[in-house]
Amino acid sequence: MLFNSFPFFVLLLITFFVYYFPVKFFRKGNTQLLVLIFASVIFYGYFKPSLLLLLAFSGAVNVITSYFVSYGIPKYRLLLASVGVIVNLAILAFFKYSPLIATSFFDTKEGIGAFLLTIPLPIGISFFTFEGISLVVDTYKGHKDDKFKNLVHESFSVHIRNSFFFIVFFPHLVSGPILKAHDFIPQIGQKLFRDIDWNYCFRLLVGGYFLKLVVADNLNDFTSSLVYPGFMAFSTLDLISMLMGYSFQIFADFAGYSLIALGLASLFGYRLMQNFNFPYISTSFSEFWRRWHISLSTFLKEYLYFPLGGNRKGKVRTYINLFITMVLGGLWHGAAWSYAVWGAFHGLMLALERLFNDRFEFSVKRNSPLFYIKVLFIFLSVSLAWLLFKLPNFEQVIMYMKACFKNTGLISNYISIFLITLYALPVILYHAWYLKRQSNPVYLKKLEFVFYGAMIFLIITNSGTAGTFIYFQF
Amino acid sequence: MAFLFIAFELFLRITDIPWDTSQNDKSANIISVQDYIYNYSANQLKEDTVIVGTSVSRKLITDTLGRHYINLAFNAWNSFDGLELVKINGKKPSCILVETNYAKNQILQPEISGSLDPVSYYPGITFKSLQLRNQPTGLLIGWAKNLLKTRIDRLKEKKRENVDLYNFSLQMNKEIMNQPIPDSILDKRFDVIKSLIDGFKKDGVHIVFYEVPVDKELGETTSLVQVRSYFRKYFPENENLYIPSPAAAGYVFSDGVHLSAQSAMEYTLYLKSELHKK
Repeated sequence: MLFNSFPFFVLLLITFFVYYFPVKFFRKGNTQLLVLIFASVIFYGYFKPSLLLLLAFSGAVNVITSYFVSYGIPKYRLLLASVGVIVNLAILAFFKYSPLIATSFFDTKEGIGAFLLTIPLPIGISFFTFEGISLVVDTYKGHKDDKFKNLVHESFSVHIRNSFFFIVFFPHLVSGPILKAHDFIPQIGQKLFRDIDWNYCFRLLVGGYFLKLVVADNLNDFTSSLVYPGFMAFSTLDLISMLMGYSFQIFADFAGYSLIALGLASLFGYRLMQNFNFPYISTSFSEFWRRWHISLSTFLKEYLYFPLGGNRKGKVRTYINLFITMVLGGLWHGAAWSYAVWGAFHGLMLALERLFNDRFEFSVKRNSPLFYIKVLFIFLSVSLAWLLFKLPNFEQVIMYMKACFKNTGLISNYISIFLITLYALPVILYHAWYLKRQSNPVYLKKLEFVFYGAMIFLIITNSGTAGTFIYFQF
Repeated sequence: MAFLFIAFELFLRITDIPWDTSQNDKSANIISVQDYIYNYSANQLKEDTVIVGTSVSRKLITDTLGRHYINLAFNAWNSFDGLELVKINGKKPSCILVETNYAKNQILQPEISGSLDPVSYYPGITFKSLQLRNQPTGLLIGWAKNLLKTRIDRLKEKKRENVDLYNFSLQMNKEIMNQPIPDSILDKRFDVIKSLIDGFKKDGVHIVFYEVPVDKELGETTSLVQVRSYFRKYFPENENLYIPSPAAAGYVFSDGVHLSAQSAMEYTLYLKSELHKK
């Protein structure tokens, strides 16, 4: 189901009503969880019920391994935790990377290669397998670190319920934020209608739907033309504006989805982690990754970078660890080598930045001209890298670059360029407002209701033609 | 928000906006779909001729054909989508002109089924603010396009005169159109088209097939020849009305496939005279 579909709104209304139904039975914590689990199952299985089998299997593996890591024989803890992680990764590898393995190593016309190409890609698999890993690893850490204790309830049936809820809770199920067990499971309990923070929910939902429906979907109507070989006939200005448009689109699409997920979760009393924090005002790649897809970058830091050694094994090893983490993070996004290249680019930039910072002390004053140059440089570099998302075939990326240099004399489509700029403007203003937040005039705060009113008006009257969320493909 | 919405709705009801408010090809398609399903009653359509086809037929100057012509040709879609839309809408026109240049998909575009979904159809027909042609940014663009029409036409003409670009587009289209379409796929597509057209014929709707000219270098490309022969196989010439394609010489194209504005007018006049003969 899509968050912007009629069936979803019906499901949401019914779930909300039953969840907070003013009858003692329904307001028990247990029943509330079961209501949400049931709604999440409908949400996920709506278009393809067979996917529920995979979700159930994945959930079962995580429930069983995490339970016996906590309450089983201590000498087998590490083995069980390892099995849990490996099975999750195996599920991910099988369903997500089969086509890549097929095209890279086998003849795709027959045999194993042909078979691997038929493996479907279940929606949300990259997210729920990572959350399964988080559950297993956090419970393993529980015997060493008090922060991770009590994630697994003594009663197996309660543990099943809590774990399934953690993984399938519909706001985050198919496109994140990637939850960590130690952040989410302690929140599980009875929720009351009077505790809903309506102001918080309203801002998140309106902001999220505006970014998705008005900004991202409208930009998509233009950037969808950036396909080979058609783009070879576009002018340089058209090509650059479409790439910039895509950069804003991917932010609006994903940040919009995350805001909606946060808003929906908070309607039911759960706080999910913030996933975006004005990433396009970053002055370095490391800052970018502290602001973009925060749930993924913190997951990779906690469950991959630190276990690899982090920055504790010397400088060279730090750079290598950064690079490996980012390459694997890139591959997480999609089963194509271009995503690995994208990850490698970011890994290389992070390593180079680290090398530079280790050697030179260099600080830039906020709001100085150099500050803005850095912001622009990082934004343009990140946007250029998005090309690898838009054109997963690497040869087409090269053709795009060639066209940019070659087509300077062609006539541009100024209407499209104007509209791309217009639809990107809210994202630009959103970031500009954040940059200047300390010096923003007071009246802007008082006019907030006008902005929200205008956003709702535009959601109703100026949405783009409906598209799925970009991150659904991951 | 409520104030904004009411004020906007009133504005739309008071004014009659004649501009083209489409922002891109996709929105142009959806506007055509919505105009068709919202603005034509069953009685009106009984006298009308609907044109179904691809972007090559969108170039036709429909007003020149006559008052009772509706252009349901779509960018990037094809005749199947127009036929399916007419069928699902339930209101039968007097005649359907079917473009025979291409036969692409046989699965309905989600934008068409979405527009006909009761959840979007009833609010759309009730509130003008919810129709795609009345989007605020579309109105802004429509106003700008109207204001700068001459300049925009001059730029389009200048773009068309770029010989290198034309040759590149021609070459690109040649490569695409020379790729054969598997017979199994064409059989599926034409089975669906035939079932639609036979249904219309049973309801007394006249069907006329026509082919829009393309650059002579593309006229005998593999897929074009395949589709042409499939139309004649499923709809034999001795049982159906065909308007032959005129010779490509004398026509000017923007990219080898789409007629320039001037040539689109010339072809429209040719089509009009041929229709009168039939």
